[in-house]
Amino acid sequence: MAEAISIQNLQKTYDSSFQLGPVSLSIPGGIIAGLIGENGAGKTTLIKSLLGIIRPDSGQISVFGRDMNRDEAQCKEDIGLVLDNMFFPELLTPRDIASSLRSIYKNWDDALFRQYLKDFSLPDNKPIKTFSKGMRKKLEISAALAHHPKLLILDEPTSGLDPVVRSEVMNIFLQFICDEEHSILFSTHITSDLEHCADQILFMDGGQLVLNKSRDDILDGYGILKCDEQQFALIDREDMLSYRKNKYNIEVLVSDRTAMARKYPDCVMDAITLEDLMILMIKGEKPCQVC
Amino acid sequence: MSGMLGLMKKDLYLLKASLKARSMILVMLVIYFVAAGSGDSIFTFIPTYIVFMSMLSTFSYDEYNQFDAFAVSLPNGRKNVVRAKYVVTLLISAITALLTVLISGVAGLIFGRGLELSGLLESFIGAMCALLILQALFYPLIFKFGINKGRVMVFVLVMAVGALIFLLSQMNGLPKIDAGILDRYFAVLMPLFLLALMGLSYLISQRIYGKKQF
Repeated sequence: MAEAISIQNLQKTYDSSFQLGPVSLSIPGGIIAGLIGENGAGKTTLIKSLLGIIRPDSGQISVFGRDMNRDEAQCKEDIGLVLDNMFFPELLTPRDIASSLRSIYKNWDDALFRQYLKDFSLPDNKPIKTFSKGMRKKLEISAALAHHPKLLILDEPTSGLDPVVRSEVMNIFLQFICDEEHSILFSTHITSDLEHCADQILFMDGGQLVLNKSRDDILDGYGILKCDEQQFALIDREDMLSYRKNKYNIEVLVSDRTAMARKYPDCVMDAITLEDLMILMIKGEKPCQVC
Repeated sequence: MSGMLGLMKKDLYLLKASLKARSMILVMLVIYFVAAGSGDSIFTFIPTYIVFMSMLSTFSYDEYNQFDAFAVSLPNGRKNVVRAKYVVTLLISAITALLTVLISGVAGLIFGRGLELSGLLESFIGAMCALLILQALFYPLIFKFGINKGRVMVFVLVMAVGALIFLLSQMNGLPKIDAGILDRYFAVLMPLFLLALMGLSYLISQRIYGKKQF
């Protein structure tokens, strides 16, 4: 199966205050790739570069094997978008939006759009400004899916939604990914959403892609070694990815949980969540290799 | 072409959504100026002003909802946003000019002066020219600076042009333009001038928007 997204040496600099990349990554077809990182890590810059909202300084992007620069329109026909706070003006109704998008996407499917509106209990003749945040997000998702895209690019699609709506929205994404030709790039702060559904995790920090692994490799492999000062002093520095000193213990991030549990049997080994991983990689101290 | 149609529809729906409020403003202005005893020329000015402001409001709504970032993510979005704005502008301007003639004609009949065709034609051309010149100047500035800064920039531009014309009029020894020639060839020169100005404005806007980042 062709790669859904391939990015080579993508780079973007903003006034020397922030630099994205160079980033190279590929997302295979048929998977959900979760893009995580703190605010300002470069997630939205990466997505905007991918979509041509900003112009990267260098790099190559292809979608399903097509070069984004050369076949931009065709690439975008295959992409469904839910962007953070970027959508049609709020005076418009879902019916207006359908009418506009019908003339933009070749594969626009009115019946499918109406079905999503019905499933989400959204009125088609009321202006968006009368919708709650959850309703707006559902409308954006309906619009993103109604032209039969093969790739969904989602930037914070569940932020600000209550757990019930979030669950509904996540179910829609899981239905979408049932077709093995479909892929999702899902950027979010809510890492728990990804723990249940993502196949691949892309972790960005300071404009760099610092981790690109399968979810199972991370959640089954990585761990947190909990120890006191004396135990910490005995741990080989090359076994540590980072560590954080708390009031009562020290948490050490390790990449091979099973091996480390055997090597340091006196320490407590915990499984890791994506949130733990993010916090320890961003806020944790890096071990001094010569100490 | 079809992508442009979609973005045109978006602007037309926006105009339709704000039509009620704009119509009320129009009626209130008409009542005010009639009560104040203003001349017929006000019926040329008001619809032009309303449509100009309505077109600007489409930029405001786009900016407020960050629609541009969404639009450039659509197939051929970057090219079509500018195209759609100019085509809708020309379409709405033409409709406005026709409405202006109609309103002026109706007003002429109401006030008992009958339908003066030549006067209406002048109103038609005057309203159309003013609207298009203003929009041709405004749009590249909006695409470059956004709606709020663009408004200030166009004000500065108009003041600068006014000052320049004033200074030139005060200078001696400059060749004088024969007003008679302008009158005779107005019907040919003005459309050509407008066409060139709109074309230039469109090309500049496309260039600006092509490089713009959101």
